[in-house]
Amino acid sequence: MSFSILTLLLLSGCTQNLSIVHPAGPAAATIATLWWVLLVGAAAIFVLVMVLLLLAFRVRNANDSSDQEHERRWIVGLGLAFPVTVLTALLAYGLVIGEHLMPRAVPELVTVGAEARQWAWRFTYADMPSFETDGVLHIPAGKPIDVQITSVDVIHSFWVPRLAGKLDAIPGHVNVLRIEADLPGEYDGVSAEFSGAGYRMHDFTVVAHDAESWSAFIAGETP
Amino acid sequence: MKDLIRLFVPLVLWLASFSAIYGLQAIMCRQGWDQILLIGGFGLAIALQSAVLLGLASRKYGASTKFVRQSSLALGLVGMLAVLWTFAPVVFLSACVAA
Amino acid sequence: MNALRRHRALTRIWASDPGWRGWFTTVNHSDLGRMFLLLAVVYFFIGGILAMLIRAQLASPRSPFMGADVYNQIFTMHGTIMMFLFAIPLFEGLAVYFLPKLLGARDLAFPRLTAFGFWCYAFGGSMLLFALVAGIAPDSGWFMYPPLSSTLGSPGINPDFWLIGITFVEVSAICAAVEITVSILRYRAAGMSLSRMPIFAWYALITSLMILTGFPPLILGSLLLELERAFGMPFFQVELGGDSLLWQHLFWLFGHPEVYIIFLPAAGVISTILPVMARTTLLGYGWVVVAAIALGVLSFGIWVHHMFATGIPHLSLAFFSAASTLVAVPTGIQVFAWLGTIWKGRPHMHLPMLWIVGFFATFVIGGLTGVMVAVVPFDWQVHDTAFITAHLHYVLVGGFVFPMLAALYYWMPHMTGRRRFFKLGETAFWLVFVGFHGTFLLMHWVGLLGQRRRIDTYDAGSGWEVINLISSVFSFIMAIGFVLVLIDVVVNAAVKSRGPRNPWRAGSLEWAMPIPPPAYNFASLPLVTSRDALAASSDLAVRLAKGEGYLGAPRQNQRETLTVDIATGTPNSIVVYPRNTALPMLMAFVTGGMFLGMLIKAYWLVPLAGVGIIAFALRWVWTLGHRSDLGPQDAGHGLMLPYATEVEDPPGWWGSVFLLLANATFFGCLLFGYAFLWTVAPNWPPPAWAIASWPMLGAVVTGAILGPIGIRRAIGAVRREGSPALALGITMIGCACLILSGLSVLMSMPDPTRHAYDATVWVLGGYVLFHTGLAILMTGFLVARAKTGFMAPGRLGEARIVQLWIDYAACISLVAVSATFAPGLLS
Repeated sequence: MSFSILTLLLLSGCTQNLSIVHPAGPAAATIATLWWVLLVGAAAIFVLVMVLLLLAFRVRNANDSSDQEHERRWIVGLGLAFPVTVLTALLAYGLVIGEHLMPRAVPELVTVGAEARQWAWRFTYADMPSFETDGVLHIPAGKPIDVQITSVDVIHSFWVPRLAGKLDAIPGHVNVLRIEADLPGEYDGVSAEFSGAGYRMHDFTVVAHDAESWSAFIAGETP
Repeated sequence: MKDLIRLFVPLVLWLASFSAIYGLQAIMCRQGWDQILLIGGFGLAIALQSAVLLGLASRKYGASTKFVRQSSLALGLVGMLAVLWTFAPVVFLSACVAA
Repeated sequence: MNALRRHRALTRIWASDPGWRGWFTTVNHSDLGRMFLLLAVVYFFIGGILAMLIRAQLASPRSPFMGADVYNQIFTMHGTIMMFLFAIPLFEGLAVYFLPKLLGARDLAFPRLTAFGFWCYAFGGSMLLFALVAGIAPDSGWFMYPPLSSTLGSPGINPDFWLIGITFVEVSAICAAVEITVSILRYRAAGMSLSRMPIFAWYALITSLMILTGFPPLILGSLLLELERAFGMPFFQVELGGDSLLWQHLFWLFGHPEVYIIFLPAAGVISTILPVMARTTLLGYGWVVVAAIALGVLSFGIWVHHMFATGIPHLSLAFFSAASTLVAVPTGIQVFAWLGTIWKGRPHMHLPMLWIVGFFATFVIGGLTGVMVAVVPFDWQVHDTAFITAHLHYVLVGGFVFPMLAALYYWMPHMTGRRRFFKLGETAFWLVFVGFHGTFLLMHWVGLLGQRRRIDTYDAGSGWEVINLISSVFSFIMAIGFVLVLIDVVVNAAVKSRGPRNPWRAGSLEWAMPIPPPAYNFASLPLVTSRDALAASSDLAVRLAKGEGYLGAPRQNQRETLTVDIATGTPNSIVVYPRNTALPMLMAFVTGGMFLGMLIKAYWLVPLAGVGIIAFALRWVWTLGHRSDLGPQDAGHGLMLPYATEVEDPPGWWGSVFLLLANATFFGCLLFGYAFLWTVAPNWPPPAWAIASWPMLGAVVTGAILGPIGIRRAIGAVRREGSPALALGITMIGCACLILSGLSVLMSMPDPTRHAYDATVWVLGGYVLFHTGLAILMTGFLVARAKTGFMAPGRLGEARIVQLWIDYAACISLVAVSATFAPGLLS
C-alpha cells in the first residue's frame, strides 16, 4: 500500500491545474486534508481486513472455539462495534467540515454570478451591475466570494478544483457556492456535469486579483 | 406473512420517518417555520420506533419462533439506531442554509 | 415404480418441445434460467467491447479514434447495458435457474410469467442493440438527466430508445421479482421454515422485494420524460412549472437501491459458496439475514447522496450522509461474518474460493471509497470525476462480477454434469484480477488530479497521460482474462468428462438431484428438517430418486409441485403447472408492438397492441382452474392436500399482492413527484387549479363504495351457492362511476402542456382510468367464469384476486381525486 501511494505521488508531479490535492483556497485545503485522513484510515482498514483474510488460510487446529465465541468476536466486535465507532467519528468530522464550508454571512463578502449555457460561462458582479465577462471570472484574492450559480439550458456544474468543491448550475434554481483564493493568480475551472457534445471544452478561468488590481477592476478599468 | 412483516416493519418505519422528516424540512425552509418542528419530528420518530420495538418484544404482537423473534428484535434495534443516527443532525446543524 | 421408470415418466411430462420449437414454447425454469444467463453474458461481452473502445479512446491524449458524439453514445450504452441488460438479468437468470432447486421445488410459481419476462427482456434489449448498431443510441449518459435528455438537449430519437427500451426490460424485472418473491414464500420443500431457508433464498427474497419497490420510480420517471418528449407535458421544464431535479430524485430513488439489488445476490452467492469452500457452515446465519434486510431497506434512504452537489440544504445532505455511512454497518457485518466463517472452517483454495478472495480484496476497497464519498465535502470535490468511475467499478466488478464468476465455477459441474478438465480458469483469474486493479486503482488518483468522467479526450500536458495509458493497457489484460473464462467454459462444457454428483460436498438441496438436472428437478419432493438437508442425510438424492419423498407418483400427466405455509413450511396445497406454450412469447411480442408504436410514434399501433395484449391475457387466465370440485389429493406419505385452485389464497393471489406492492410504489412516487413540484419547483402555482364539481365528487365516492361492496357481495353469493350476477353488475356500475369521474376531471383540464400541474393531473387521471378499466375487464371475466361453472364455494381464488384489484382501483381513485384538488383548496 505505501509503495503504491509513493508511486501515486511520483506520478502526480506533472501538472496540477485541476488538482484537488493541490489546494489554493481554504475550502479546497480543508477537503484535501479530509482526503488524506480518509486515505490513511481506509488504508489501515484495508490492511487489517487483508491480514485477517490471509491469516484465515494458515494451517491450524480446526474448531478451537465455539460458534458463539466466533459470532461474538467476528460479528459483534469486528462487524458491528468497529464500524459504528469509526463511522460515528467520520460522520461527525464530515458534518463539522460541511457546516464550516456553508456560505454564511461574513463581513467583506463579494458576490458574483455565474450563468452557464451550452457551452459557455458568463459572469456578473454585484458591485458592477451592468458589467459581464465571458469565460473569465474575476475575484479578489484572500476574500470570501459567494458565486450565485445558475443555468439557462441544461444542467452544468461550477467547479474550480483548487478553490472549492463543485456545485450544480440548474435551470430555474440559483445555488450559492463559497469560494476563496489564498493568493492572486489564475485558476482553472470546468463544468463538471455532462452536457452533451461540447462538454469537454466547457471551461473557464478564475482570475484572483491582489487588492490593488481588484480596486482597479471594480473601478471599471480593464483588468 | 406476519413474520415477514415483523422483520421488515422496523426499518420500513425508519424509511417512512426519514422521508417525512426530509419532506418536512423542505416545506419548513420554504415557509420559514422554526427548526423546533424538526426536533419534534425527531422525538416522534423515536417514540414510534420504540413502540414498534415494544410490540415486537411483546407476547401479543411478537413472533412465536425463536429465529423470527430474535431477528425482528435485532432489526428493531437497528431501526432505533438508524433513527438516532440519521436524525441526530437536526439538533445541531442549521436547517436551511444551502450549499 | 423403480427410479428409472419414474425418471422416464416424469421426463415425458416435464420435457420441453423438441427441436427449435422448444426455445419458443418452453416454460421450464431450467431452460429459461439458462436463456437468461446466456443472453446476459452476451450483453456482458457487448458492454465489455464498448468499455474497450472507451479505454482505447482514452489511452492517449487528443486521440483521433472517435469524436464526442460517438463517444457519448458508447459510454451511455456501456453503463446502460451493464446495469440493465447484464447485471439485473444475470441475477434473474441465476434465481430462475437455481431457486427451485435450492428450495426443493420443481419449478417457480408462474412458469409462463418467467417466459414472458424473458421475452420482454430479449425484445427490449434488442431495441437498444438496434439503436447502438444504427448509430442512434442514447447519448445523454445512463442517468439521462433532463433537460439534456429531453427535447431541449436531445431532439433526436436517441433518448426514446432508452426510455422505452429500458422500460420494456423493466417489465421483465418486475415479472421476475413477483415470481421469485412468491416462489420463495410458497414454493419450498416441506418442513423448510423461514429459519431453514438456504441463505441465498433470503438474499433473493430481499432483492426481489427491492426490485418491486426500487424499479417503479424509474418506470415512472421514464414515463414522465417520454410524455414530455412526445407530447410536451412539462414535468421537467422549469418555465412551465416542472423541475429537472424531479428526474434526479426519481432516478436515484431507483438508482441507489439498484446498486444493492446488484450486490445482494452476489452476497447471497458468497454466503452460499464460501462455507462449502471452508468446509463448515455460515457463521451467524441469523445475523447475516438481519444485515441483509437492514441493507435492503437502508439503501432506500440514501438516494440523495448522488445529488450532494445540486444545492440541497446542508441539513438534508446530513441525513443522507448519515444514512450512507450507516449502510456500511450491515455491509461490515456481512464481510466479517464471511471472514469468521473462513476462520472457523478449513478453507480450500478451489477456483470459486480464489474468486471470492479476489472479491474481498476488491470489494473492500470499493466499500471504503464508498464511505469516503458519503462524506459530503469530499463528494463535492470528487463527484463526477474519474474517482467515482474507479469507485463504482470496484463495487460493481468486485462486488458482483467476481462473485458471479465464483458462482459460475461452483455451479458449472451442476449445470453440465462434467468436471473441469482443462485448468484455464486459474490463469484467467489472475489476468482479470491484475488487469482490473491495473485499470482502476490509479484511476482514483487521476480523478483527484481533476479528470472528469465522460470527457471524450484530454490534452497533452494535463498530467493524466501516464495513468490513462496504464489503465488502458491493463484493461486489455482484463479483457483477455474474460475471454479466457469464456473459452474455459466452452471447452469444459464440450469435453465429456463425467463428474461426481456432489463434487464440493455441499449440504444444500440443489445437489440432491442427478446432474445435469432433469426437467423436473426432483423425482419426489424432500422433507426438510434442518438448514443443510443434504448434509443431514447424505443418501437423500437416492431416496428422492426412488420416490420416497412427496408427489413421487406421476399423476394424469400433470406437472405438480407443493406449496407450503410461509412461516412454518407445512405443505398446504398441490400446484398443477401449465404445459409448454408459445403464449408468453407471443404476448411479449405484442407488448413489444405497443412499445415500438410509442418509439416510432406510430400511435395507432398502441391501442391495437393493447387489444392484442388483452386477448392474450384473457386466454392466459382462462386456461387456469376447473369446473368441478376435485377435493383433496394424495401427496404421498398419507398427506391429503387440495389443489391450489381450491384454496382461498392461490399463488395468483400472492402474485397480485406483490404486483400491487410495486404498483402502489409507482403511485406513491407519482404523489411524491407531485408534492415535490408543488413545494420545490419555482414556477408554481399554475395558471389555474382544477375546480371540483359536485357530480364528479359524487361519482367518485359512489364508485369507490359500490365497487368493493359489489365484489364482496358477489363472493358472498357464491359462497352461499347463489348467483353473483347482480353483485357483479353493481361492481361494474361502481367502476363505471370511477371512469366517468376520471374522464370529467380530464375534460376540465383540456391542455396538459400548459403547466406541470395540468400534466400531473392527466397522469393521475390516466392512472385511474387504466386501473378502473382493468377492474371492469376483470369483473367481466368473473361474469364469464361464473356462467361457465368455474366459480364455486370452494373455488373462489379468482374472485378474491379480482377483489384485490377492485379495492386498489377504488383507493387510488379517491387518493388521486383528493390530490388533484388539494393544492387548490389549500391555497
